[in-house]
Amino acid sequence: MRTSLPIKKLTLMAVLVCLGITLQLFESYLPFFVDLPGGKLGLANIATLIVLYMYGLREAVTVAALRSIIGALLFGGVVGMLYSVSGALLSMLVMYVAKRYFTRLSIVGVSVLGACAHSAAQVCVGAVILSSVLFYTYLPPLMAVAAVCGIFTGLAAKAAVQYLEKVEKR
Amino acid sequence: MNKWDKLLTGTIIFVSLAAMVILEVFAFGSTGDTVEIYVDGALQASYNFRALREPITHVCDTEYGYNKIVIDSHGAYVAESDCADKTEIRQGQISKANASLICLPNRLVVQITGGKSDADIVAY
Repeated sequence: MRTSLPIKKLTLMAVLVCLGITLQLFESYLPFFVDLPGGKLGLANIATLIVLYMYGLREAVTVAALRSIIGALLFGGVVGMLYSVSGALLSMLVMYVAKRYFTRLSIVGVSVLGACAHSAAQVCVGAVILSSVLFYTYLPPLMAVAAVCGIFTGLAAKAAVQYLEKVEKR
Repeated sequence: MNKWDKLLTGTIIFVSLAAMVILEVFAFGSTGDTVEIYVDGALQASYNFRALREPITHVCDTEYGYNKIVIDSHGAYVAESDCADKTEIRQGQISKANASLICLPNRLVVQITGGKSDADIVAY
């Protein structure tokens, strides 16, 4: 789906960066149901997924990078930025590869892979920053949680993409 | 959500759960005897907790944040923290070897080391 007017695309991308930051902020206030360091719902991934499915790789990388950098500057600090940017970019690239080469997967499966990649990036960055190998023992529980959360973010992104494509056709 | 999505998600969850079981048996299988406290990768303190009669309180007040760790003869837990999510407090007390409490924003790692495996204790 290509938009006829660049300005429409520009506006939608700006709105989605904003949506990502808002979701990131929103989920930091939600109590999380498991007690794992680095465990997250990953709601901000919805914005990245929408852009990836509406436009493509370049636009999605732009939105993911902007979202994580601005989000970290607003409320994460410089170390928060390391986690957030590495997580957002790795999950973005994994989702692109999944969408492009594993065409049997729907947006939900792509979202699950993205969420797992995000967790893996967080654990790797965390293990380096803390210089603790033991942090890798948190990878399996984080992966299981990410897979479950990925289903729901995927379903949310699916609904949004269906709606946006209907709007585009008008 | 089609059948490939379900297969993928199911596989990831299954492998993760299997890995958790393997970790539980091989990494956390033995009881530890030493609590080590690290901030930003540097060892701050180390306590042999099995012989403790009274609980020790260790306060980590560094440039990364504030944490209060309580160590008694059963293990260690984080009692207070100034970080946002407080996951390390909600994890409760740890006592098994290789178990850890991690506070990412404060760069705190509390880990248990040492100890013989239960099998060795039985053998002796």
